[in-house]
Amino acid sequence: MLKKLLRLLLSWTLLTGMEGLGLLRADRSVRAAAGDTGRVHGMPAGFARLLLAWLLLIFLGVLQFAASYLPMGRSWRPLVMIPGVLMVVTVAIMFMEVGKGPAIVRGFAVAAIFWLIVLLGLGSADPLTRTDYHVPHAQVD
Amino acid sequence: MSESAAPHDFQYADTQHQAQTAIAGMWLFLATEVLFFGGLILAWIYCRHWNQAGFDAGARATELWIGTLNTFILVTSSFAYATGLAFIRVGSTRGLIRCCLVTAALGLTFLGLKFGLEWHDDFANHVFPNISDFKIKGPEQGGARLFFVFYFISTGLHGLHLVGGIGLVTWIILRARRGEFTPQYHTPVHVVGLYWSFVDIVWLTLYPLIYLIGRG
Repeated sequence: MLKKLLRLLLSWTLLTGMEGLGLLRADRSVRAAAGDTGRVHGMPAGFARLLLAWLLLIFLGVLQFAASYLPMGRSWRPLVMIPGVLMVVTVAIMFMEVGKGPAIVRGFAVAAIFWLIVLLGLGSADPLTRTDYHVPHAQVD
Repeated sequence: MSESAAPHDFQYADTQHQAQTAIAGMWLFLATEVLFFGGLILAWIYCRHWNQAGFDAGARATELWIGTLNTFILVTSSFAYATGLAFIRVGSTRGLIRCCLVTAALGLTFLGLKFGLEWHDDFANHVFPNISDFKIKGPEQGGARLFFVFYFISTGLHGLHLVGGIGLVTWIILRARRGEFTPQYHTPVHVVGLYWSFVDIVWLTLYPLIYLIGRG
């Protein structure tokens, strides 16, 4: 089970990573066949890549839904978000084409993620690291 | 008409420069939106940490099937819009309009399910946080009320963003019907697509926070 999950995760990383770096054209043959009109069977060139991304998102959505039913302690349950994070990255790379824009676009995207990490990291540092010392009721009174 | 010869405003070197500036501007706006919703997520982390049982009780009182269906609807709407962008890149205005109509219809379906059905059920089930006969009783009540404060504010703000997105997609449809977009010039289509996909991303973040993490 764990091996299967790792294999799926590796496939996703390779697919989106290569797409983000512009190394992959999932629909290369379709593009070649598209010619001057840029269309094959009525669909635009690039449609196969978008369809693949949509199927990947549906798969990750189902995976996340199923993962929410795994028995986990309350503190570990935020791990259910991992497929959701992969979905966010998939949308950013495949639909928003963050890897294809000018360099400043990637700069804004990286800056947004960096400041979000700073915001969430510093903001949650106190509740996640504080030690509660329970005081018996008798002493409180 | 070549790309460099296409009309552009005086302050830009060419059409491509104008398009890249508009796209970068939208990304900068989205970066501010990330921090806007980041504050909301931080509030969720902080409040859940101190009220885990209450938050879990609140999550179990949400309509899981509507949230899940809406997730797939929004993901599909982003796919439809990206396909529309691919259509206009090869010069098909009709393809763009059809895809935009599907996108807007899916957005309206999301809003109908969220506010017409889910919020209606939420009010009927007495989970609005500021009512005396709140559904969840006992020691979990305080945390559950906090959870539903987060729930109503986050889904309300996301809904407002989606309404704005549907308005923008309608604007693209109207401009496309007038034949304003070509393979050389379709920057507004691209920029609105960035916004639409971002609204999708916000929901992909809210969905597990609201519906999934508290279950199990």
